[in-house]
Formats: sequence, C-alpha cells, structure tokens
Amino acid sequence: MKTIIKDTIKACIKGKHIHIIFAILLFIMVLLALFTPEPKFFCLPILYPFIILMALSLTSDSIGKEIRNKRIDLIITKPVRRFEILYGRIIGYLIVFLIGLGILIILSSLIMFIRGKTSIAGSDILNLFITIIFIITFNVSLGVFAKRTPNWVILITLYFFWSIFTGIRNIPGLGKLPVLLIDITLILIPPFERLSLISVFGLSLSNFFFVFLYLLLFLIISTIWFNRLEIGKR
Amino acid sequence: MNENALEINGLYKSYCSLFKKETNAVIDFSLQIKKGEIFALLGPNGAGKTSVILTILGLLHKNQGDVKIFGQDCEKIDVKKRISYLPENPSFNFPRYLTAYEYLDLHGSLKGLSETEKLQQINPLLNRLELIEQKDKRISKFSKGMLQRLNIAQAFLGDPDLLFLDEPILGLDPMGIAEIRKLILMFKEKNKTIFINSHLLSEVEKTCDHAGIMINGKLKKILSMEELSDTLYGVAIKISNIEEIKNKIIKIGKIDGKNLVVTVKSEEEIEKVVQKIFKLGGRVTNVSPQIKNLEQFFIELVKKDNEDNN
Repeated sequence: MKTIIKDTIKACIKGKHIHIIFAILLFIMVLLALFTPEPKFFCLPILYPFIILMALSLTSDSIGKEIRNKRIDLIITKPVRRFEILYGRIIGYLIVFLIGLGILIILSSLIMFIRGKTSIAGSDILNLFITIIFIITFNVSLGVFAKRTPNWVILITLYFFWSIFTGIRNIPGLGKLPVLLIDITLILIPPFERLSLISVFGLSLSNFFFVFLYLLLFLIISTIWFNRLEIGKR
Repeated sequence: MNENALEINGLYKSYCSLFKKETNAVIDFSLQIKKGEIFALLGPNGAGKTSVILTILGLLHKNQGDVKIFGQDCEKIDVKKRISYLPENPSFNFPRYLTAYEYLDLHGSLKGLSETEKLQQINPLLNRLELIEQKDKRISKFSKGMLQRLNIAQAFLGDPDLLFLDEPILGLDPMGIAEIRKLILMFKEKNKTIFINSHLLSEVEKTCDHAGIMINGKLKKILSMEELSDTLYGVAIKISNIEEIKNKIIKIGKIDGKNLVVTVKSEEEIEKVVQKIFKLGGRVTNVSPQIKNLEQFFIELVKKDNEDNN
C-alpha cells in the first residue's frame, strides 16, 4: 500500500499541479487577510468552497479513469491486493489535502495573530477537515463504480436527485408513504444535507455519526464491488 | 520432474450485460505449459486470446474452470510475485508525469523489489532497450515505439518466472523486434516461461516451442514448432521446358512461372511425380520441398472452421 500512497502523492504533485492551486489559494488568502478590515471573515472560510471544489475535481476519476484507460490492469497484476489500491489512493489524497490545509490554517492563524485579531474557530477547522475527508473518501471510492461514466457525472446526478427529493419531501400535505419512500431514497444518496448542516450549524454528534456511518458503509460496498469488478474488458 | 508453469482446465468465460446477449469469449479452454517453455496463443481478431490472458491474470473473473500457476491459485499474492504482464496497446495507460526511470521504479516497488534490486535491474534494462539516454525524460514526450519498449522493460523487471506478453512487438521497428526476440530467447535460457499472444506468425515460429490456435473462443489445435518444421507441404519442381509440356502437366499441380507446384504428403510421392514429369517429356532442373509454415497452417485451420460453421 505504501507504494500506492507514494504514487498518489506524486501524481497529485507532479501530474495535477496541486501545489500551484494551493499556492494561488494561499496568495488570495494572504491578500484578503492583509487588506480587509475583518480578516476572520475573509480569511479561511471564504476559501471553503474553492477548497471543496478543488478536492472534488482532483479526486474525481482517480480510480474510474485508471480503469477506463487500463492503467489499473498493470497495477492489479502486481502483488498488490485490490483494496490496497483503493485505500492507498484515498490515503494519498488525504495526506496531500490535509498537509495543504494545515499550511493554509497555520498561515491564516499567523496573519490573525500579527494583526491582533481573534483566531479562526476550532470548529470551523474541524468542519472543513471532516468535509474534505468525506469528499475525498467518497469521490475516490465512487471511482470503482465509474467504469464507463466519469465520477463527476455520477456526482452531479446524485446531487440532482438529492435536490429533487428534498424539494418534494418538503411539500406540505404529502402522504406518509411517499415521505417514507423519499426518506429511504435519501439515505442512499450521499448526505449532502448533513454536510451542509455541519458547515452551517457546526458539528453535532448526530450529524457526525450519520456522515461517518454513511462513509464507512460506502467504503465497504466500494471495496466489495472493486474486488468483483471485471477489469480490462472493453 | 518438469513442473507445469501454467495449467488451465475447462476454462469458460462469457460476457453479459443488461442490454446485450451473452457472448462466450472462451469455451472449454484447457492447456498445460511446462516450465521453461515459450508458448504462443494465436487466433484471428476476436478469437478470445486476450480474454484468456486477462482471466488467467485475475483481471476478469472466470465462469467455470480451474487456472493454476506453478500449482497455485492464480490470484494469490505469492503467485503474482512470480509473474509479469505486458498489456496490449499500452500507449494510453502510462502515468505521463513520470520519467522512464520513475516509471520502472514504481513498477519495481509494486513488484516488491528492494532499492538495491531496483538499482541493479533498471539501468541495465533501459540500456538493453536503448532507453538509457531517455531515462530522465518524461513519458509524455515518448514515441509509440519508445512506450512499447518501456513497457517491455516493465514486464522483464523483477526477473519473473512466468511472463505474459500481449502483442509484444506491436509498434516496434525491425531493430526493436530483433532486440525483443533476443530478450525472449535469453529469458528462455534462464528456464523462464513465456506466454505470448501475437498476430506475427513469423516471429512466433522463430521464438516459440509450441503454438495454440484459438478460433471463436475454442482452442482448436496445439502445434509443436519442431513438428511443424518437419511437415512436408508440397514440392516446387523447376522445369526448363515448362511451356512445351504445359497442357500435359496442368493436371498434376499448379504452374507458377517455371515451377510446377505439387501438393505431396511424403518423399516417395515426390519421386513418383518427378518420374511422371520425365515420362511426359519434361526437363527437371531443380526440386525443392516446401515445408508447411505456421501461416499456412493457421490460414487452413481458420478457413476450415469457417466452412464447418457455414
């Protein structure tokens, strides 16, 4: 697994130029922090959507694309178990992102300290970390189902269904059965709502538990699926 | 005891999807390859050759049958340490951000080689495949032939005991082909086993011990290259006055320039044909036996199978 992790980190740094994107984010953050009257508001939280988008775009297709372009064929024929490939990729991406985020947070706090402002709330940082861990783990695992369709297409479709079902769920006077069916369907769709609740209202134990359980189940299903997946067939 | 490197018994592989009818890619495929042997699997496009390799390697799941590599289940990690694979048309599956050396270093690590082993093996392999000067060049700048050579280096890395090569000389120039041939034969000298999928029959004839011909998912015939080289196919008889006796000998065989090509099965038959030509007034200046080559054998078998199916 160590080799897969190392390869993922190398791919992130050399192949996807993540350091350049992080440097741009850092530059924007420093500019905002230095030249805005209230750095707490403009410093790190304003970059959240960019960081989430970056995590989504960089991990999108990490395994799915490898299956489609047959790069994974050679890796599977090596003395490596399939789950090691999946977990190695996830850990590799997590290491890169968490280090990048760590640097952003440290610098952000440093600027706050220099300007004599209050530091970023610990819960904000924790929320960001949980969101990033969820996105990376979910998106990389999703790749094993994306043999023919790119990850982002599946993700957008899931988000679309989630929005539709959530909208219908909130219509007043809806019968008990449709509500139950929608609730069951929403369990299968990624917990976007819980994630947004975490980022808006902070981390509650129930939200955290739900997201964690969902992620764990999804990872188990992806691992089983990946083990049974036929690879190399056009 | 000569251990079997690969043993396949009654392998079946079919593909099915929601909207497509089930297709049988491999039907009752059985084969034994001895250690130190070079075996080639031949067949027309779509015969199921790649499906066989992918199923052996565990990339595809078999429907039925048994595959053993060195007597063990083919998906075991211990078995995977002893095998290597060169995929067909590898130009899309390279991590283009790596250099040639980094690519081999990655595959060496995946094979479980130590840093010392990698150092000892990578440079000589790159040198042998004439890539040493490009070792620090990014793969994205490599030509198709260079990519194929790099992939061959990847397959030979780690000194595997059993090597699966899917179209190994595709996209190589004649010099490259000759080098790969040498590499394969050198590998054989070390008592290693090679399983090749190829369309280039002349190359197979030069390097392999046995060849299996696969048609429509079935293994139709296994040929020994040694036996094949002894199989008399016909005889070309050069007749100096062929124009004069053309009408008389037309029934014996096919006229090709100054030669009369006759299908024969034994040396005695050659003698009888030559005597017949003498009697008809022909002046025979040369007699050259025609040995059946793999290509003729292959074409005959495919044609026969098509006729049987029709």
